[in-house]
Amino acid sequence: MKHADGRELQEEGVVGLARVARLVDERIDESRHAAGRERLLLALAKQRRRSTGRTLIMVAAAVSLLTVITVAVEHRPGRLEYRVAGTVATDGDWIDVAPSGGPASMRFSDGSELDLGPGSRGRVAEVTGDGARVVLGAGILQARVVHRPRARWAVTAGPYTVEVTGTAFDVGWSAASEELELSLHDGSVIVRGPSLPDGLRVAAGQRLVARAGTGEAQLSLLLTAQPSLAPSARDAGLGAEGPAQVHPAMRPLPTWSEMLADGNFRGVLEAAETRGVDATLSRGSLPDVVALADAARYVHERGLARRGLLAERSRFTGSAEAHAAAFVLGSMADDGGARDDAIRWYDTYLAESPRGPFAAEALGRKLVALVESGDTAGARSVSREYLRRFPHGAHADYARDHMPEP
Amino acid sequence: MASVPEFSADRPFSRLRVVAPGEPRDEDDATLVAAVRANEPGAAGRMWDRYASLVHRILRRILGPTDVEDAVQDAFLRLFRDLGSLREPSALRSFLIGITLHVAKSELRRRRARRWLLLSDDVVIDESDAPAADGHHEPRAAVLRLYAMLDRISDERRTVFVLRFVEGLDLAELSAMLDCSLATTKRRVADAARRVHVLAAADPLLAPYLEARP
Repeated sequence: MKHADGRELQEEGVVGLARVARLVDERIDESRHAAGRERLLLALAKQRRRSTGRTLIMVAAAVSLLTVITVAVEHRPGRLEYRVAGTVATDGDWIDVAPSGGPASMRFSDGSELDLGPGSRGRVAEVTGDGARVVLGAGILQARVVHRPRARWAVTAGPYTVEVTGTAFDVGWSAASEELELSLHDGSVIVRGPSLPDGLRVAAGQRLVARAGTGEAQLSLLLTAQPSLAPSARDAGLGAEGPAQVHPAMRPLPTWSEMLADGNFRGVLEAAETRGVDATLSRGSLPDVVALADAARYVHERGLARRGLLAERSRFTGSAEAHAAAFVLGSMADDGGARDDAIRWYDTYLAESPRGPFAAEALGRKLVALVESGDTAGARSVSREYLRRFPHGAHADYARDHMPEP
Repeated sequence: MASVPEFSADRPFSRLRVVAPGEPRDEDDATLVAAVRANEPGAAGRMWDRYASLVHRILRRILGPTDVEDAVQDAFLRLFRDLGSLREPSALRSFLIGITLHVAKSELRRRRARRWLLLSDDVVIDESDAPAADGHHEPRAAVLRLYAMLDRISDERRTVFVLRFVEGLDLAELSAMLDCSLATTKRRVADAARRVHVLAAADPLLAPYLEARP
């Protein structure tokens, strides 16, 4: 106790109490994360739509090119009908949505809805009794296609075609970069195009980014991952040759990463002990080593956490996880009062990831460590660098306080 | 539509790369902010993917073991509404944390008003469930007790306690978040610690944790 009023003792005491607060499960599970994402995007779309309405009232008289249209387009027997509503300009069959407003909505008589985003361009190229073919010239299209037994829908974007039977998805197309981005929220679609001539099935919870110029296609998992693909995604981090099809029945046990996400830190440590901690650190996959290191950190097994982080760095050199491990090692050293070690790790992180997600924090914490270790010259130098790089960062005021007097 | 083969190790798509969920794109905060401002396809979703966990965690830690999904949505909607006022896009994280703290305080005020109107507490604890602070049991009762105790202190002290001692923000970060000087931040930290310590010390369920060490 350094102060007569017991300030330090009280602060040390509440650190123990804070551990109780950390027992609150703060992690957002995958399904809630995905649901929250959907809810947010929907709310933003509604806001834009309302904004469009307001904007329309103000500018409609002045902007002659933009027209609010609500037209029935198809009335042929046996075919779907659709209406387009929104602030749009038409150019032949093409519908151009005002960039500053909300989306234009195409509502079909079977209940399907396709929204063209602000600044987007599209057209309905073909309508049948079972669906339609819509061309996305540029921008984003949000689709909610009602599933019916014979439904046949397609969205064409550049050289890519997204074939749909019943689903909800967002598709974006940049004509300039020839990049397609597809996010599946429900159902499944088949995408055909450069490097995908036989078609690629994209399922709910997946995102596809495809570049026509290079033929690259990158399939990642949204947060509501398909069970059959989750192991493949994990394997990808291990340098697997290619994705493998895995039946859901083959993964009855949660992975360490899943246990970690569930807050089951002890479960991860017990699993590692069963497998062998040394074996895990020397031969385990990157996700498992990361999970073990994090679980050890969360239960304050600092020695094991440090070994895990060092294993990330030595075995997976160059990976994002290895870079981040340097920052975490610095923070741990900092917390343990080993300021020189902390500074060395922060420097390592900053050298490896000068624009990484922890760059501002690493530089700011390095500054604090220098100040607390009495290195005035070093602190001034880092203050200068911090203010140059992060003038509005969290440590900016602190850095100003430690700049030389003018 | 023709049948399409599923993924197979025997038939990999030669240029297809499967990546783990949450794998960071080569996109820093400034780029992401620019993308959102330009209404780029998918940018809003990427913002959510990057920061939903952070916002969720801060709100849970401040508000306690309760449903915070509405508050998370509120924080993000405010972020998108106010993003135009963010002068330094690389400061997105701090900007968003500031918004999140504002949302948390609003929610605390709302709950306090509701409790006052309903004349009842949100949290009821059965002390017979209280375990010892030995780390071998799930101290659910202690968690509930802690947040019931935090309901008795000011929102400002509660926020400072959580950010400093639970989230582990250093004093410089905390002073930026609270928008006050380092000296003032130190005083506020000491004040929050003192108040929390006094209340916890008087609570038989929480007092043992004051002695616990990591």
